[in-house]
Amino acid sequence: MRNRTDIVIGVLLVTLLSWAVWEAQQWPARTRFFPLAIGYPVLAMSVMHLAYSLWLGLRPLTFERGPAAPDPVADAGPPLAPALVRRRTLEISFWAVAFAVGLYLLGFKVGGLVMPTIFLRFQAHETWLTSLLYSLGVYVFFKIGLEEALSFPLPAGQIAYGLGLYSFDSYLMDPVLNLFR
Amino acid sequence: MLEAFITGLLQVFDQTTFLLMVIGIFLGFIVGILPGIGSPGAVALMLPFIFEMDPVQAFAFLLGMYAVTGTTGDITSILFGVPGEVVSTATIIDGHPMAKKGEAGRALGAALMSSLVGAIVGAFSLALAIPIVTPLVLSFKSPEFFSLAILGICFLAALSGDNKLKGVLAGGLGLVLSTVGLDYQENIERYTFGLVNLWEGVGLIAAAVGLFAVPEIVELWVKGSAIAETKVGKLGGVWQGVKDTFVHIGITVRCSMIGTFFGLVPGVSAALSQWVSYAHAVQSTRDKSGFGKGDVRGVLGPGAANNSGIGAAMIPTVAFGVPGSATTAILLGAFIIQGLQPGPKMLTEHLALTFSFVWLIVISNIITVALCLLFLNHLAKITQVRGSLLIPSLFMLIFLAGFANTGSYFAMTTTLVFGVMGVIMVNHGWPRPPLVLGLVLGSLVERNLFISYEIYGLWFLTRPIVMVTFGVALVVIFLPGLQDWMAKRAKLQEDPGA
Repeated sequence: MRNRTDIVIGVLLVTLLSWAVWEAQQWPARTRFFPLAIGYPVLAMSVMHLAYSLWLGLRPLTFERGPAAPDPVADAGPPLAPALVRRRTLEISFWAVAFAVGLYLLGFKVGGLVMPTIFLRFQAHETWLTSLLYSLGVYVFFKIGLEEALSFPLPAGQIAYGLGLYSFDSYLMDPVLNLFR
Repeated sequence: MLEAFITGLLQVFDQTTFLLMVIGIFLGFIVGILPGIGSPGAVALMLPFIFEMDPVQAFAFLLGMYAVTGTTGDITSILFGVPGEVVSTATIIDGHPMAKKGEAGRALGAALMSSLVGAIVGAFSLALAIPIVTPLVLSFKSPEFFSLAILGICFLAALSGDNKLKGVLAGGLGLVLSTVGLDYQENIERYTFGLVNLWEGVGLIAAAVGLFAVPEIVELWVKGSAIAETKVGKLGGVWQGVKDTFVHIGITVRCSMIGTFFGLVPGVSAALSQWVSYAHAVQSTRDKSGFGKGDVRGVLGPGAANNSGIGAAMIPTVAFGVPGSATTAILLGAFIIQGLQPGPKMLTEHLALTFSFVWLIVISNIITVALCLLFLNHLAKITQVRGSLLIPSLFMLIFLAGFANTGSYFAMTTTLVFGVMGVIMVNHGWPRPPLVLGLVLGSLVERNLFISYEIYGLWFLTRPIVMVTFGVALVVIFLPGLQDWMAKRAKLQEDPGA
């Protein structure tokens, strides 16, 4: 069936919005006023969208839909094999989660030093020198640019918190920076 | 009045004042480039430093910073598809595809010059408009604010290609998502799943960055190339972009006026004016086929609008003490720190100071644009760096953006969730801008709808401005479809066999 994903998205939306409307009905009048005022029309539209997707899916292949919304990312370059696209999408999704977890555990400064190094060396296959210089640049940006110059608070990360320590880099960097303060 | 106007200018060129303005511009440049650290946050962070300054110096410092954040925010929008500011999101739609085509220099030149034109229009409207706009602004009540917000969402939905239902649905979904968090009236949790981190609602910056930047990163990795798909020898085109501003001066000035109008209406987001300006640029152009794929007019409109709103947002702030934007709300704090009372006295006793605001906005923008134009070629070269080298920095920036906005690691989860949504929306032709706008305007729509209903019942829908606004919204949604249907009908009548 064509536009199967549209139908799946439609079903998900109808389910989500039905739940949202049902949930809102349990609240006091003032609290539920807006969620219901907006929830019912949006639910109706999502049902219309689902019906439209089903209708399109069941129609014979004589009608092509018009162009989608203008979107800066939608323009495709040279075609890539679907398997390659899937593999690379999974790779980068993994790294997105890995960066988030790394920053959560190590904080922005140390995480900014560690995560780009690992990514550049082991995923992008850059040289150690490039990877380390790059990561050092990221660290300097966080430490000097944000923390020192803008007094932007950057937490130490959960590992340091768990061990009851300051950010790991503080022990090395703060004595050096104190010479210039 | 003329004397105050000139005194205001001379005050800006005082040595210390000018230096503080330049420091403010420098900080604003950094803040603007960094996604997520918006101008409200930056101005708030700098408030403690103005205690020792006199009023002109304090506002030189703060306005210098505020005036450039929108301009420089456009740079990351164009180069990376990552909005430096919420008000720079619309610039992505055509600016980033231009960068991909190797026209980053031209897009940046157009964005900067249109921002300057917008800033000048906005700043001088601050000087000229106070006596004229007072009755207009005062005539706007909750029903009008509500209808304006709905009009903004309809404008965006109208840009959703042939499938406007998806556009309207995305806008509606944004409004539904905006209800997540503590209800502001009863303090009751709505859709929070018991998570304290959701009490403040869905982090707007984290959501916007996830929706727009994550799909870019995925695409960069999947393609395995640089942001710019076309390699150009020397990154030229900057002056072409500057010229484009004057070739399409009509769009630039009209969008500046739109930005000015939205800026002076308190509480209406500057992001809305950018989107409405983008919609205007599209709808006022005969050949719309290039929009969304890298049409310079799609950069000029939003570029002009976001800076013109800065001067305009100062009008209700100075004249009535009613902030026109989040940043001007924080600037009200600066008035209090400096012992100034916004209101009639700002237009009589402190008129020279008020006019110095006009000059500060204009001069800050001129300095910023001049500096940016000097270094644009170097900035634009970033688009030719291979994707694998950019990705770690982009990951760091998107997670920093959400964190900086909320101060919580939970924002990273929001970024990831909206990132997945963004990728799905891109792959299946769902427009993302209406969803972001729904999120931005949700609280405004809710508050004004509730107040309108409490005061007027459903009769608020019969107020003249509301009826006109809703009429325009209906026309915007249905007119293109009606035109298509009539064109097809006419074609069928001419050639029944077609």
